[in-house]
Amino acid sequence: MNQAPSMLKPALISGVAFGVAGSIPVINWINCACCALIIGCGFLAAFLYSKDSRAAGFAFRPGNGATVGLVAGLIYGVISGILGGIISSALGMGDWQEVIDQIQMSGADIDPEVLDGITHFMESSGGLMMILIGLFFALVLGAIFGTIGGLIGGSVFKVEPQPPVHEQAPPPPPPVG
Amino acid sequence: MTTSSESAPRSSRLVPGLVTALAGLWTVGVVLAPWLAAHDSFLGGWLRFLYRPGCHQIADRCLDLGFGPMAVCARCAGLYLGGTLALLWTTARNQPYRPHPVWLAVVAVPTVLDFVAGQLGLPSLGNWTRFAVALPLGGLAGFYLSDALIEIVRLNSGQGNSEFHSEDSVG
Repeated sequence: MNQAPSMLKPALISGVAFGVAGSIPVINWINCACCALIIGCGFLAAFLYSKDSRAAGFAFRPGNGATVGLVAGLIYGVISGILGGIISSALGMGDWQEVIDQIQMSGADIDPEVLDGITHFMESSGGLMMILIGLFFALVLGAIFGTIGGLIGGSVFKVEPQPPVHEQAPPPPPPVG
Repeated sequence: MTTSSESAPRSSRLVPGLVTALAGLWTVGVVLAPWLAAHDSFLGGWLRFLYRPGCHQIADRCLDLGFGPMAVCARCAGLYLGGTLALLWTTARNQPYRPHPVWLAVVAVPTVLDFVAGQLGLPSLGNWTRFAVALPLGGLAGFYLSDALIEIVRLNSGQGNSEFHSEDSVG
């Protein structure tokens, strides 16, 4: 009897490939279009898993797509969160002041005293806190949009289960005599 | 394009209905953020910030309905509205609808080309055109999403898989 294909391989391939792409400063702008990189990550994982399922003779359903998309999205989150944080720190980007600027640009109203307190804490913790915060958001977004991509892929690349083969009784022997 | 031959059971409406409601709220928030900001509500800024991770929010590339730029760019607004309308349509009809996958590539091409042109600094589409071009892509994603949700609900409610099978499958 065939064994169901592993989800880990397609999730790893897709999660690592898109995670690396998502941590490169210019390429990660693609995420500005509705987190397209993360949705693409889940979608590719679903495609790869549907291919494996078809080859092994197993059904591939949207639920499988959602699961493999979720795993791929989480892998994306880990890779892009850590690698992106390291690259941003190395290039001197992504400091806390940039985050504050973004909050203020969006018009959100924050008490200046609270902001000062957070800024002091962030500066005293060094770059590590920024990497951890980035990792947290990358994991949350990866889980949500990876699953959406996997669901879409699950519908697009659906593989219906093969109908069961009923064993037919052998034909009766020809009459003798 | 393919539709299933029969309506989904009434119970399968709940999950797509909830997702549609969430998508609707998310889409309404895009317009609500500038409206609240125009009416001096502090919520406007926070609501705009909520959309920040998924969109660049460059004001020149956002639609303006008369009370400031929307919380997301024209392309994202088109994707959100298209997806919400498709989810709404499927939920209202209570019937999964799964277009042939080739349509996904067809409707994605203009948006991808416009995105690439924008990144390369080439002249790209106007805001309303960009919105209109993204609308069918969002719609198609919404159709696939609702098809997936309905099938998951159906399988988990213990129903057979013969009545909903799609004629399309990608080879």
